[in-house]
Amino acid sequence: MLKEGRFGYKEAISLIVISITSKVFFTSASFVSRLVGTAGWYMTLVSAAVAALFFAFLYLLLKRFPGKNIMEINDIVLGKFAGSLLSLVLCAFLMIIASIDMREFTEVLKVFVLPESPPSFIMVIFIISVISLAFAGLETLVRYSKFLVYLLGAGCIFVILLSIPDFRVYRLFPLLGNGLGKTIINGALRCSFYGEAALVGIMAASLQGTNEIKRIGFYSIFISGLMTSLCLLSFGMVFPYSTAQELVSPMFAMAANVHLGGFLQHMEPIFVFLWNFGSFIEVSALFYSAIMIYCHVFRISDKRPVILPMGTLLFCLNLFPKGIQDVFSAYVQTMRTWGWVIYFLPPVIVLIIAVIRKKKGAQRNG
Amino acid sequence: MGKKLVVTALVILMAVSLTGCFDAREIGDYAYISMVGIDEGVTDELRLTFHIPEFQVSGSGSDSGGGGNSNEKEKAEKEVITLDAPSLLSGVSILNNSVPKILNFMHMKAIIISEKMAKSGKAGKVVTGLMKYRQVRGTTNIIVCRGTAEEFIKAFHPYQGGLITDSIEELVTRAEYTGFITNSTFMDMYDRIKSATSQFLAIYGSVNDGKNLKESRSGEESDPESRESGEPEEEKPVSQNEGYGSGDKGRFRIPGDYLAGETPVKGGPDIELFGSAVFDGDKMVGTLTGFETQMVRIAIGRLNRAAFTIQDPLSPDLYIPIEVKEFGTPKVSIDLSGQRPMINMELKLEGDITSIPSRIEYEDEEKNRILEQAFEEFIKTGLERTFKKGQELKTDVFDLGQVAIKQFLTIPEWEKYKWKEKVLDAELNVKVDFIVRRTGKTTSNKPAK
Amino acid sequence: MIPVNKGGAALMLKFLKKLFVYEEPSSSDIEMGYEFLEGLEESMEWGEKYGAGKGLKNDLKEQKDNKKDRSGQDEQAGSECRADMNDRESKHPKILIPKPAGKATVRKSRKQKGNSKAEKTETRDSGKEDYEEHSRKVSKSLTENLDYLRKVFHVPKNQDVVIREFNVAHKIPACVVFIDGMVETTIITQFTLPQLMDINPFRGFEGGCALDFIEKNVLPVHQVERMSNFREIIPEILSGLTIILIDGCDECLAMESRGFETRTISAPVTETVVHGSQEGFTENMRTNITLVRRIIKNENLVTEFITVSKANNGRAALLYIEGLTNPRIVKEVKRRIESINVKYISGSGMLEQLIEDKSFMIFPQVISTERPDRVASFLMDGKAVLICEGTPFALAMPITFFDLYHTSEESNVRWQYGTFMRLVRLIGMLLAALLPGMYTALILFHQEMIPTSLLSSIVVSRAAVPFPTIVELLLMEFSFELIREGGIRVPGVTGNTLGIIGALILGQAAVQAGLVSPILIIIVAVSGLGSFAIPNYSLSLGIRIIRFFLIFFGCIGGFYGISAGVTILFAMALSMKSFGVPFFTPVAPYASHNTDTIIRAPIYEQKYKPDYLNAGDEIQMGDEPRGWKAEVKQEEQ
Repeated sequence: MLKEGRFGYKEAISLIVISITSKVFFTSASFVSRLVGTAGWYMTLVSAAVAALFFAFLYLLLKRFPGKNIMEINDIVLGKFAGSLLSLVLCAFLMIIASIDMREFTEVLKVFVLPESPPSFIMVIFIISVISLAFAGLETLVRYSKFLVYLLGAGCIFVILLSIPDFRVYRLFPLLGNGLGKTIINGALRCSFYGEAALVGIMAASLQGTNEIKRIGFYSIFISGLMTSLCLLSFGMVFPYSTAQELVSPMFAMAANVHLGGFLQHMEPIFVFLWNFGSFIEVSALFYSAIMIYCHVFRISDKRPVILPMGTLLFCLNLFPKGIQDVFSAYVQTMRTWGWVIYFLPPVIVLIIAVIRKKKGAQRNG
Repeated sequence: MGKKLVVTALVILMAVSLTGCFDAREIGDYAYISMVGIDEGVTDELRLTFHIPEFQVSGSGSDSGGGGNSNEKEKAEKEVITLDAPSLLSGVSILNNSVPKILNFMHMKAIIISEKMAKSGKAGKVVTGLMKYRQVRGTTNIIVCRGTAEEFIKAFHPYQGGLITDSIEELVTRAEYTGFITNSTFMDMYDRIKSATSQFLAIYGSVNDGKNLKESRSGEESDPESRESGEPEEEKPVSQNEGYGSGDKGRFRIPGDYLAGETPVKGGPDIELFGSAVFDGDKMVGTLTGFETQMVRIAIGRLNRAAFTIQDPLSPDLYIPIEVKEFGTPKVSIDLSGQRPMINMELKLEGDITSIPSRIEYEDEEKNRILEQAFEEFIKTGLERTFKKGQELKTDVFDLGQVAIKQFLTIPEWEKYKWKEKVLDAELNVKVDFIVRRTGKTTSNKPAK
Repeated sequence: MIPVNKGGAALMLKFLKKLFVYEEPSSSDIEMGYEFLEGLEESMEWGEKYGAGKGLKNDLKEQKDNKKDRSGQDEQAGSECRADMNDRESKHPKILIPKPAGKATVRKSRKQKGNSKAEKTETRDSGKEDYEEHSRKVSKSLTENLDYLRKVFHVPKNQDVVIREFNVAHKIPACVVFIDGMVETTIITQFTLPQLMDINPFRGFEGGCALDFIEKNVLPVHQVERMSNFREIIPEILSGLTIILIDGCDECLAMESRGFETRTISAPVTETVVHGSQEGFTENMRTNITLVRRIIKNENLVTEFITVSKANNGRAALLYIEGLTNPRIVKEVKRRIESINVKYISGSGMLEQLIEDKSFMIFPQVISTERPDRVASFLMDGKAVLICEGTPFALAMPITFFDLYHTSEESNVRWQYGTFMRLVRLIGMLLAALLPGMYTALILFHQEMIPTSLLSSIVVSRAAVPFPTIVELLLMEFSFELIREGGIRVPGVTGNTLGIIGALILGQAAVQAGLVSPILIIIVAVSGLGSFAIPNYSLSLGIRIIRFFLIFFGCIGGFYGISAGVTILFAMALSMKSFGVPFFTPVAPYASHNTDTIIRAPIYEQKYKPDYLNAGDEIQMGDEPRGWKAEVKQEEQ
């Protein structure tokens, strides 16, 4: 029997911030460079703003039904069948995103760190850790992320600080990149980068009131927006746009380029750790949310027997893409560009329907 | 049933763990290549030269100095391997069949390209193609050498024992102290060859076997370099002798106005890094002497410290050595409105006088000003000369593209403007402001009685 | 088939069952969240393990014969246990009744202050039939009582028990019963027998049962108690009290007369400090309690005695501060101890293992300490302390990881030094756990991440070594552990020197012989030193085991493997609860706390008690703890 327990806002913020920010260590940064040139660092701020806007809708929905999580709200507003269907769509989507992230991670790891291990080996180790975190429950997951968040943040900033001698401001120019219009459109579309904020809705039952939800959502989007922007800014100053769009993992290359004297060189280990921990937490969060939705829809109270089969399913999903090219161009970019449809649109739709049908949740005292 | 479950679990555990050491190799299983040289191959595309140092405890390495050069030469022969191969990867895999350890580039410090390869443009393409190769780091230095890379590597011994990788690093870091070379890395090369903004300057190196140290002043220029390299049609080194002031012809050389291989040095290490090789895209189009490289560094604001010697303005037979530091980056403003770009550069330099042989009291105000002006003139001439040379070589050596780009709003606009062509017509105005900060241990200079 | 150990297989099987078999949610799935004593369900889980029905049987043969019966009885007893729980539930409707899945349970407040004093504590009588046999009342006839006592104590075979018969006031037959060696003979010889044998004090005595009269007027002993049931009397004799039996009375008097030899108070062995008190516990429970009482002179400090092992008649003392310690902790501790059904408990170590939440976890959930000043600070924080007879350790619960990590020294010195010591200890702990694993990962997988000059030193030093890295490392690690184990056994001064010199010489000799590389010696030595820096013995053992775990992961997957290993470790450690308190409070989950986890603020700034204990009184000091500073400020104004 797994209890979700309760946890405070600091832990929830750390979970979501880590989930969102780990993605910047991957391949998206080079895609951003390809799309908007040098304007990546403020395009992500545009994305954050759009995501915050969508989150506001989610928050309104949650405020209407205090103390319930999004699956229950779907059930109440749309009826059992349609609500379950919507929740299942979200569940499937989360599994797919988790598997894509995991596959991306594996590919990048194979390129840079463990070139000769077969991907299934790397994935098995990953899945074992994800499963053990899932077994331990949501409370443990958020505690773990709270534990690590300062460490990861400090590590990230440390890598950025070490790269300062390589910064050349001219690389950020021309400021508008490929054009302001392109920046804004791409920024708006890629707001699914911050899609993990929607996980707040799934965990809403364990949080402590709708005030908390507001804080958690907006703060986490804000903080992760800042961190992502900082990372993109720094690597934008280290690599000119022509190179940046070609690198597999620009952040990793930035860490590898640190060369301050005879000893402070070859700094990738820091980076590998940051990135590994972040990815574990992120994929575990997505996986666990998917399991939560699944168990809710099918009324299963004990999650533990479900975790292992879902883990196997995740592993199989990972094997779909053919190679690194597929993963980058097709999967990740499609998800990044259109993911917001599933992350953010359903709460908006449900909110509208709830207003129309005048459904409201019971008010609680205190 | 219970036992079956348990056994299954154990088997899975073993399958994961025992087959898991795919990437694990003992640290001693690798041979770490520290330098690669790329030449034109005879039997194949490329001639690759690898330098694989034998690691020794640092104490015993220097003991072999007792044997002198012969010992080192033997060592060099064991450590340096040359082969012809179509590409770097095939070369390594061919070589792996004779060297018992696995070769890898994880700790490679420098890629040496021969001048001929660089000029043909092939080297640029081959080397930048290495970007994909995981083992090659972005911080590897790129050195273009006169002659063949093979000779260069053979002549490169670690100084006073120790590791060759340390020697390479130290040499390149020396750029901070003298300014005679740029710190060119693989990442730089890749960025600049492909960018529309700036061009690539590589470190220029060569073997110097001391024949430049002529014994007598009179006597024709015997031009020993052509004898060394063994290639009769090699160009004469472009080192102009534009010292100002009267002086004997050929007597006052601007300090550092050499290319690698020409410095009149005898003994010590056999190789030297001096000056830069200028690339336009993939091809090498020319060289800059050490002095000109110093000018480049001043112009881009990366001169930490350098030593100059100028003619004493009031007593032209003698010289004044000045140690110069840069005081902030130069203010460059570029006016793109007209037909040709107009570039205004303002520099601030500061320096310490280290000695005044003529005993003229330059410490007092008026004479100080004279000295400063003389130096400013010196630098200004040098900068203009370097810029012009760059324009002749059809490159933008001062990285002015980096300043110009700030005036454009979007990337397509910038690329349409084609700065690289426009800069060839540009006009440069330089204003130098030099301040003497300190005058050494003595504050005044009284004439001898 | 691979021969698998039965016990191991059972464990594995249970674990796999959890993975694959669906369990019905238990009825008490209610109290969620961040408060300790997470739910009756956890207590129940624990109760099933050690509570009624799983008791040890005396007769092995009986066990084998009644295998089926026993399982049936287990079920029954288990269901009894559950029935009790449900019973309790229905009587106290404050506990929410579980709703069917699909609806969330709404909670009103984050913490529910435990004010459930009304819940009765049930004494678990079932399963203790074995020990009911002495339940016999004292009879009025002295000879009957004496016969019974002689039978019970196997007198005259057992020559430890002394039965001294005499006449009270020259008339009434009586006797004293005691165990030789355990009593202080002066009390009997000078303060009991003379007074009782003399006629004079008995002048005003009318007749009937003399006990009352003796107790109130004759016996000058400071502590006496009246008992009537042999079930209570016999343990008291065995603890060293003296019993007076008088003919014609159906009660007896038990006199406090303990006077056995104990060890004198000496400095604590395992937890030495430089700048603190040098007194440590001894094996005697009374002395230990006294040591604590000397530090906490608070009238609310309560000592309850709980019987621990019936066959041993052992007792444990439970100390807590009434009104400060949350009564739910006390209740839970008592419940767990009282339901222990083990024949012999040698001391606090065994007790710790029997009452902790999850014995599978690698970290201890109960802290055992040898110092009374630490115990005093735990009590004042709001923890409950158990002192057991037999080992000089006291147990405190509930704990967090940071209690294991702090020592008492840091509060005794100034805050800068305290912070510095903690930082050094933190680095030591990290080194002890991570260094060999990281070294393995670096050397085997990530050679490109080592700076080149370091690389050459490593290659050179490893050149002569015939073993692969992992074998070499494990060899050195095991030798180090062997030296440590051996060093404990060798007595006296030689022991310490063996540890240090042995390590040095062995290491040096091994390097000279070309068996290991010098770098590895440094790595192993540094990580060993790091584990020495850990103050708590259990924690240091835990970290040593973790080290091997991480070496394994480092060998499989390099840094990636180590990250995975750390994740799995933390997944286990962070889900751990010690008596309902999550293990890594106050860092994760966040609880308001003093600046005291790693960096220690000055004492006068640590105003609050630990939040997670939900103690009665949260504030530890007033607004201006340094009154003289306030006065100075006033003067300045």
